[in-house]
Amino acid sequence: MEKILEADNLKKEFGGILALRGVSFSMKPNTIKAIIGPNGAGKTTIFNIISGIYSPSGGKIWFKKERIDRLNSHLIATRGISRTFQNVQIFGNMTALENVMVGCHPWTGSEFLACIFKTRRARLEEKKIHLRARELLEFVGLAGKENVLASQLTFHQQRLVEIARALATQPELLLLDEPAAGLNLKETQEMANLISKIRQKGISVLLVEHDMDLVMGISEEIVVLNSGEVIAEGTPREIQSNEKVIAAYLGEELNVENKKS
Amino acid sequence: MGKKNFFSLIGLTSIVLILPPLIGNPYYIGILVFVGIYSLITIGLSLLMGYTGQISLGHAAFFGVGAYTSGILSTRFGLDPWLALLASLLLAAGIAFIIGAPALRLKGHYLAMATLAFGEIIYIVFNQWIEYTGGPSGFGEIPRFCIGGFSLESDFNYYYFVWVIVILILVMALNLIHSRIGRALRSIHGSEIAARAMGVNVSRYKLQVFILSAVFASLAGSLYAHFVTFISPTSFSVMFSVALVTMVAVGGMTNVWGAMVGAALLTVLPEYLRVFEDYDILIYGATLLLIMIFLPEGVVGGIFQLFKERMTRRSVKFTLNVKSLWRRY
Amino acid sequence: MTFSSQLLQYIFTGIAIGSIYGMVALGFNIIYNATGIINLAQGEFVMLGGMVMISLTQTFKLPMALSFFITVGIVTLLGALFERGAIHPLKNPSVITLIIITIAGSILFKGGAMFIWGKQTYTLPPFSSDIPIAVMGASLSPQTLWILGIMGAVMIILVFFFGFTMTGRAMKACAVNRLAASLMGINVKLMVLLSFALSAAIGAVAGIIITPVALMDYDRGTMLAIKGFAAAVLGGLGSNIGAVIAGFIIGLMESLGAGFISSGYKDAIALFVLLVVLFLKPSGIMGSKEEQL
Repeated sequence: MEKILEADNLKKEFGGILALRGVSFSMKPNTIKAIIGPNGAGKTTIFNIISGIYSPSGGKIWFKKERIDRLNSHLIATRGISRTFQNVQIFGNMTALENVMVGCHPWTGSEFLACIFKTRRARLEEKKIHLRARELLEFVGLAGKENVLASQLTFHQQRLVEIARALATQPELLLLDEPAAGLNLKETQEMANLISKIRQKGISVLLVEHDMDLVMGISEEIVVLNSGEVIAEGTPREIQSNEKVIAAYLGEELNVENKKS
Repeated sequence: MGKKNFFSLIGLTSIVLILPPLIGNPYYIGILVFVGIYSLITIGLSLLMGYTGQISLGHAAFFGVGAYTSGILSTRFGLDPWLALLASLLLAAGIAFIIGAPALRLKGHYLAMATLAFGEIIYIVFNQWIEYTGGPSGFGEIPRFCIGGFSLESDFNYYYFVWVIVILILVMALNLIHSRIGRALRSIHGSEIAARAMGVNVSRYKLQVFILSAVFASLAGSLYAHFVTFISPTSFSVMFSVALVTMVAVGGMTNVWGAMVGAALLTVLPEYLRVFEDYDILIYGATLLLIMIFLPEGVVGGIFQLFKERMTRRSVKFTLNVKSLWRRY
Repeated sequence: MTFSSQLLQYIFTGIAIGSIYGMVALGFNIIYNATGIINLAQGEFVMLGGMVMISLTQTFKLPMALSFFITVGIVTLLGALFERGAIHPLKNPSVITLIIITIAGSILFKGGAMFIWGKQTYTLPPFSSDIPIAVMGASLSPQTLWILGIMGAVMIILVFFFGFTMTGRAMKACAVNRLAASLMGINVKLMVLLSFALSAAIGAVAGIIITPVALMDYDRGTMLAIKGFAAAVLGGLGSNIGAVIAGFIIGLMESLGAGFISSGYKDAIALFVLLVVLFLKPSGIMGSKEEQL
C-alpha cells in the first residue's frame, strides 16, 4: 500500500485553546517515523487523536484507507493500532505477564459466559495467550520477570512491559510516546535497538520523542511540529539542516549534550 | 483458578459440610443460611466495586426484586418456585440493563446516584403497589422449594441447599477472575485509559458486571423469600444497600473471599451486639468511615498486606543471615 | 376550587419545593466543581439546617433572626469538619473510596440526628404570618415568598462571590483546571475545604426555609439529596443556572404529579426524571458534551 497512515488538516481545540491548527502528514508502511517539536507543540495531542482518546475538532485521519477519526479507543486497537503512554500506564495491580496478556484482548473472543463456565474454546485461547505473552516478554528482554508485580518493576522495565503489551495486540502500527524519556545512555541505546527489531518484524512505528540522538539515529522520516502546525517534514538529514526547525529549537537544549549517564 | 483459590475452596467446602452437626442449634444454622444468602449478593457486588470501580446503592432493590417476584409469582400465580426463580433472574437482568446502560456510558459515578434513585423507587413501589405486594405489611405463605418431591423446609436442609449454590457461584466468580475477562476487568481497575487502548470495551464490561451482580442479588432474594416465607418492604430499604456496600468494603473490595468474610462479619456480629440495635445506622457509618480511612483494602486485604510485609521482612532477614553465615565460612 | 386555581395552587407548592431542590443542586455543583466528587451527604446539610434551627428556636428560645445565622454557622462548621476529618486525611483516594466516605458521612449525620432528635417530625413556625394570601382562588403562603426571596438573595450572593471576589474566582479556576490553578498559587486544599463549607451553608439555609412548609425529620436527607442530584444532572452537572432552573422543573413536575396523578408515588417522579435524563441527554439542559466516554 502507498500510505499506512494519513492525517489531513487535523484541528483540535480545548475550550478556546487551539492545540492543533491544521496538521497534515502521512506515513509509509514498514517505516519508522518520528514526530518532534518543542514542548506544547501538540505531539501527544496527535497521538491521542489517532488512538481515539480525543476526537478532532476538524480534519480527517485514514488508516489503511479507513477513516478512523471518529472511532473510540477500544475499536482503534482492533483495527491494528496500538500505543504506549508518556506517563507509563501500566496495570500496577497485575504481574508483568498478566499485563502483556491483556494486550492479547483484541484478537481473542471468550466472553463472560465462556469464561465463567471455562469452555474448551476459552481454555485453548488461554493457552495461546499465555504462550504469546511469554514470547513477547522475552522479545523485549524481560524473560524471568513474568511473575513480578508490575508496580514493583523499575521504570525502565515498566516501559518495556508497556511495549510488550502493545505488541501483544498484533498491531500494524505502533505509537510510542516518548519511549526514551527518563532513560540513561545505555538504556536509550537498547531502546533504539528494540525499536529497530520491531520494525524488522514488519510493524510500522510512529514515535514522539525529545531525544535527538535516538530520533536521528533510527528514524527514516521526521515531521516537525511547532505550536500546533507542521513546519517541516523529511529525512533526518533534511530536518537537521532546515532553518525553520533550527529557529524553533533555538533556546531549547537539543538533548545531544544533556544525557544522564 | 490458581492453587491458592482451589485449596481455599476445598477448605471452605469442608467447613460448610461439618459445621451443622457441630453447631446443632437450628437458630445458629439459620444465621448461617443468611450469611450464605448475603454472600451471594456481596460476591457479585465485590466484582462490581473491586474490578470496575463502580458503586451500586441499589442492590437491596435487586435483592427485593428477586424476593418479591419469586414470592408473587409462586403465591398469586401458583408458579413453581423454580420457574418463579428463573423469571425473577430475567427481570433483574432486564432492569439492570435499563439502569446501567445509560449510567455506565458516562464518565464518573452516575451509577451510584442512579442506583440510589432506583433503590428508592423500588422501595416506594413495594410499599404502594398494595394489590400485588401487600404494601407495608407485606405478604406471606410463600411456598418452599422442592427438589424432586422433597420439600426444603428445615433450617438444616436449606443450609446445605443455599451453600451448595454459594459455592457454585464462588467457583463461577473465581473462573471469571482468572480468565481473559477477569484480566480485562482488573485492567480497568489498573488504568482505564490503557485498558481501552488494548481493545477492552470498558463501558460494555462495566454494564455486564453490573447485570451479573444484579442477577446474583436477585438469586439471593428468591432464596430468601422461599426461606422466610414472609416478606415486607423493610428488608429491602436503601439502608440495606448501604449495609451491603459496608460488607464488601469491610471484607475487602477486590477479593471475593473478602466479600464473604464481610457478609459473615456483618451478619454474625450484630447478633452479639443486640444491645446496639437502634444505633446500627451510626455503627455502619462509623465502620465505613474508619475502614476507608485506615484500612481501604478491607479486613481480608489488610491482613494480606500485613502478611506480605512480614514475609518480605522475614525473607530479607533470612537472606541477610544466610549471607553473613556464608561469609564466615 | 376551580381547575385553574387548583393548578395555581400546585404551581405555588412546586415553586417552593423546587427552590429547595435547586439549592441542593447548587450544593452538589459547588463541591463537584471544586473537587470532582459527588457528595452524597449533601441532603444531610439541609436536614441539619432544619433540625438545628428547631432546637435553637424551640429548646433554647432564641429569636428567629439570630438562630438563622447561628444555625448556618453550625452546619457550615460541620461541613468543614467533615471535609477535614473524612476527606482531607485520605492519601490519593480513588473515586470509589471518596464516594463511600461521603455515604459514610451521610449515615453518620443521619444517625447522629436520630440520636439527638429521635425519629419524630418537627416543624418551625413560618417566618412572618400564618395567613395565606389569596391569589386568584389559590392560597399562597407568605412562607413561599420568603423561600423565593431568600433563595434569590443566595443566588445574588453566589454570583457576586464567584464573579467578583478573589476567593470565588479561585474556586472557579479549580473547577476548570485544578493543576493549572495550583500552579498559579491557588491553595487547592483550601478550596476543597471552602467548597464543603459553602455547600453546607447553602444546604442549611435551604433546610431552614423549607421546614415551616414541609416539616423535617432525621430521615429527610437522602430523598432531598437524590432529588437535588436529579436537578443537578437535569440542569447539567456543574452549571449553576441549570441547577436552579432544573430545580423548579422537578419541583413543579412533582407537585403537579402528586396533585393530578397520585400522591403515593410522588417521590418516584423526581427519581424517574433522573433516570430519563441520564438515558436521553446526560449533559442536561446546560451541560457540555465532554461527559460521555
